[in-house]
Amino acid sequence: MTSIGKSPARAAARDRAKSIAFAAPAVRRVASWIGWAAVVQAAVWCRAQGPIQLRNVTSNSGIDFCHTDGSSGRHYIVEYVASGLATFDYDGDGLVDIYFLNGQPLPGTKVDVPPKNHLYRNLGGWRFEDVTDRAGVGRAGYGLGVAVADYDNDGWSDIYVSNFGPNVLFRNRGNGAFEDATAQAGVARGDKVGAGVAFLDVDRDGDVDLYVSNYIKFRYELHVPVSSGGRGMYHGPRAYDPEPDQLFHNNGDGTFTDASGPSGIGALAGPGMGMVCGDFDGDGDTDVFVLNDVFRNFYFENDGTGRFREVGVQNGTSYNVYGQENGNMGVDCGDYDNDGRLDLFVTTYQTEPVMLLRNLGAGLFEDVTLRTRAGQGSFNQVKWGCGFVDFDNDGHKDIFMALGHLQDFVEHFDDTTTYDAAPVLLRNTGRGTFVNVSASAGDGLRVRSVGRGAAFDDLDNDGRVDVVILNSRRPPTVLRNESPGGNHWIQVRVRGVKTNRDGIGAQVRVVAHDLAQIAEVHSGRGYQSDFGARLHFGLGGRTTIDRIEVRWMGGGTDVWENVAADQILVVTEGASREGPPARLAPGARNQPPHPVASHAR
Amino acid sequence: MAAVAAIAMALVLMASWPWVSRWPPWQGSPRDLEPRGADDGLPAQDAPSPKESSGGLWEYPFPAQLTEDLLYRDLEQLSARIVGDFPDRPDAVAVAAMERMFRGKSGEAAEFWKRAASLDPKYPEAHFGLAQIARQRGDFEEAARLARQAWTLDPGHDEAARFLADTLLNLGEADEAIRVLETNLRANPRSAVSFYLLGQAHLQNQAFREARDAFQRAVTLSPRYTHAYYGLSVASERLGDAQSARSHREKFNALKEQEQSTARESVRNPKDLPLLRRGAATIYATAGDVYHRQGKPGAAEAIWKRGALCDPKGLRCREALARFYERRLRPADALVLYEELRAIAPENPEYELGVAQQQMRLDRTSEAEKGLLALCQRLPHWSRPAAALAQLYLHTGRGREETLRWAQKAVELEPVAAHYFLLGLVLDQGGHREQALAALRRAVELEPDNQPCREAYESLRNRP
Repeated sequence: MTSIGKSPARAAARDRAKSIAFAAPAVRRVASWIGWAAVVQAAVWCRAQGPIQLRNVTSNSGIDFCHTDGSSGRHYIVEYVASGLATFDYDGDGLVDIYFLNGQPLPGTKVDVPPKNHLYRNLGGWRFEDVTDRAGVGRAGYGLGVAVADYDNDGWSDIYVSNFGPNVLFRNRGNGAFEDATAQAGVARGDKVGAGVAFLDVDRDGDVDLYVSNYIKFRYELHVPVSSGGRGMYHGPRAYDPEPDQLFHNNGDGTFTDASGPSGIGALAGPGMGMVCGDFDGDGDTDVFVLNDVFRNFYFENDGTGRFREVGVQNGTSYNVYGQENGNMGVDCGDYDNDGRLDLFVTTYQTEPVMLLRNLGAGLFEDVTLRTRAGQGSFNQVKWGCGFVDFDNDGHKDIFMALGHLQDFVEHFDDTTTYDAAPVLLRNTGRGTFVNVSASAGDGLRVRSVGRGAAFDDLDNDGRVDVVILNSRRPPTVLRNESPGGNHWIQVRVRGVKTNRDGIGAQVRVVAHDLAQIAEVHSGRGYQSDFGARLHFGLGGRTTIDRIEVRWMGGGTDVWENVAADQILVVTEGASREGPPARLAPGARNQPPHPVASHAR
Repeated sequence: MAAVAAIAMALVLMASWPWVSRWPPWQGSPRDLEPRGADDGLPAQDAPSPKESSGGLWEYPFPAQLTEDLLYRDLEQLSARIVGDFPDRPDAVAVAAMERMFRGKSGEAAEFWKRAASLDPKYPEAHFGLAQIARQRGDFEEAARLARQAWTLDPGHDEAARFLADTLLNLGEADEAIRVLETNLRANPRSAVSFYLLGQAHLQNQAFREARDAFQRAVTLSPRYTHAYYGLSVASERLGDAQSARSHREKFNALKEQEQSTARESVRNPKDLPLLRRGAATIYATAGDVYHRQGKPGAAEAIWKRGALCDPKGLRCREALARFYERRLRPADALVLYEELRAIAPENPEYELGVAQQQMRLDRTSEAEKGLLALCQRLPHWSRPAAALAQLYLHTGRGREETLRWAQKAVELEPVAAHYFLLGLVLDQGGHREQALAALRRAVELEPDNQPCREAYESLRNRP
């Protein structure tokens, strides 16, 4: 933020005043007033601008998608949990593309043109092109959750869509098109109500497995109508039985085996929502954290072989600080306090505080929401998509939440909240607390809609992470990060060789002088969405990085030293012995790293 | 003869003693909205109220097939009527505020609360009502400010204190929350909720030993306090006491499982009818209190009855009716209510005591004795069943030794004027004049303005 003394507006005012110094007194008075008005306006403008600026660029982006939940007014429960989205580079050109899930007509709804999911190719320069039909990823069912990963390790990211109905696996053929590989892979998982999904390597065999969380056992004949004042309302999940989750083990040959029973996952049932997988306890394998709606969350601790034990109550992740279960919606993980451990952030229902769970190590978490003020600005709203993102590149992860109610006429019976709402942005102070900067973070934080999934990626490769929100029954919101300040950054895309191709589960540690940060590659996070395959690290004023350490699934590590900031790197497993990491060249196909003699690790 | 007359008068007066109070403390009981300083205004011995249909407030009986819309309409009429009847009473305006809030009209509710505050700036409930609205809207700073105002106006307002403390916690001000709670606990040391919140505040400060102690006090006061066990497990875990953490967690899990089976659909569906009924009953109860304070017993009774019909498991309207009938010497009616209360909340010994006392008044002495003896065994440190038992034996002419024993027990457990008074009567009956005088004198010392005590003392002192 510029100081008043150097403000262009003030300088202009000064010159203006000089040029009319010899005019008539009345004119001089008017000119003085104009000058001072300009100064005041500049001051107001400066005060209104915070260090994070997100601008709404939806209208000129070429994205004409509009979400539908297929509703007809009968208020089926599946309507309000739709939908998530994914941001990922589907064609390997170095630009992150966007895949929006969509609903389908439910009983009572007639449409002329059946809705479909939409894939938008990033053309660069904030222009996107709808390539859905060309890619063949439109007709996927009633989309609820999505995860992206290269499940067959052929170098191309595939898509798994979790539906109300059978799920769908789209295999990326590498030529801009996908094929439906669901039947071959054996991952349709039956006619259920899906939720968050994630790819993860549960047994560290180099192939990503698939975790599928499910919501509730719903069929139309089980629908429980409820109304208020003659208007239909949505029932909550407790009106139905929960559906157990599923785990599919990747056989390495394009097929999966249902391992729900042997893994221990299938033994419990909860109304699953968002989820995220990660090595939270630092023991080298991937654990699973699944949110449940109005039920205790499940934390499945991996024994390293793909067998899990649910320990949510013991480790402090099942309930909030009061011991109360929330209407849990979305979850992201990130190291908000830079202590080297991945923390968790959970969004919740109206009048429920969010949950910021600080990782204490040894598999324990503490709800620090109250102490860190992470609950600001959102208490009276329903919170959905979320992310830990360093928007201003100061080295500390901020929090973004997409908001929007699920009762579509909630104001009629509760005027303390609203159906549509603007998102909330909490800036990390770097001292273990957050401050609500939504009011000064640009017009993007004033867009009122009915947010569901949110994704965070650098869509224009300028080193600042942008935002895409899927809004229920509405067009999405695309926010361009225009944060000033000039802080430095680094982005790292990992490529597994012995481990899974996407490097899912790999942890990257970036050390720049006094700042050490970690991040992990995930598939499936937030509210039933997928984003952030390219790990982003803000560096503040630091222009060089002392070390980039990559710990791969299975134990191998690579280290690069003395890396310049402000670039997007592609790091390949084992390549640290050969030289510095490759730099991403946007617009061109990713190239293997240039082999240069260097130190070995 | 004079002694018999004195005893008879004492028994009649004791029958009207306001025995019913809350013990042990309960979580979340709605607070009486009575402005401070107002009293009942009604003599203890009222003639039974004349029969009135619906107290003149409604022209139809309470709907048998209740719907959300009918409930709203019923409350709307009540709200309009009470404000019309008492436009200058802040507690009446408060009922309108509650009714609006119940319907989700926080804006209109806030206007009524402000109106109540303008009628009486020292009316704490107005500030508390506004605090609750602010918090619901997510404005924690404003909620804290208003709650503090309410608490300052009425330092005995436990709900406001706890609300303030919890709001401060949400603002990250744990130290201030602790100050509030410690002050509140000095005045009300038996609040399990306050101890629970104190534990939460200490957790925020990572003072795990203090947190554990506070949570432990909470479960001691309220052994089924689910969330306090969670707090205990967290604090124990952080103190490195894994075994205790596990034990508390198991208790928490067991209690939680029982809770899960009860309706929580209200979390997502605010229009769940049983939940609406429960909320509405609070409004009926409060409105009934207002009419009662304003000397309209018929209307009060009708409203409380409506509230009891509205919520089949509601306590507050039934408690109000029970007290109402007790004061009007209608023990048969009071007994019905206490039996309903006992059925709804069997763990509350107050209701068991109420049943026994009404049985006494109906000369169902063996049933009353059985109930009181059970209470004394179950809660040996509670004075009131002991006192009631002494009273029963005094009335029925039971063995003097046994009567004296229970009267002395009551004094030992709680040396208050009423118990010294009772002891004095028992001693007098047993011919121990000097000891009786000493006991009655002590009663007068403790409550100099207590007319029955003074009269009994003077009467005995002047007796030849």
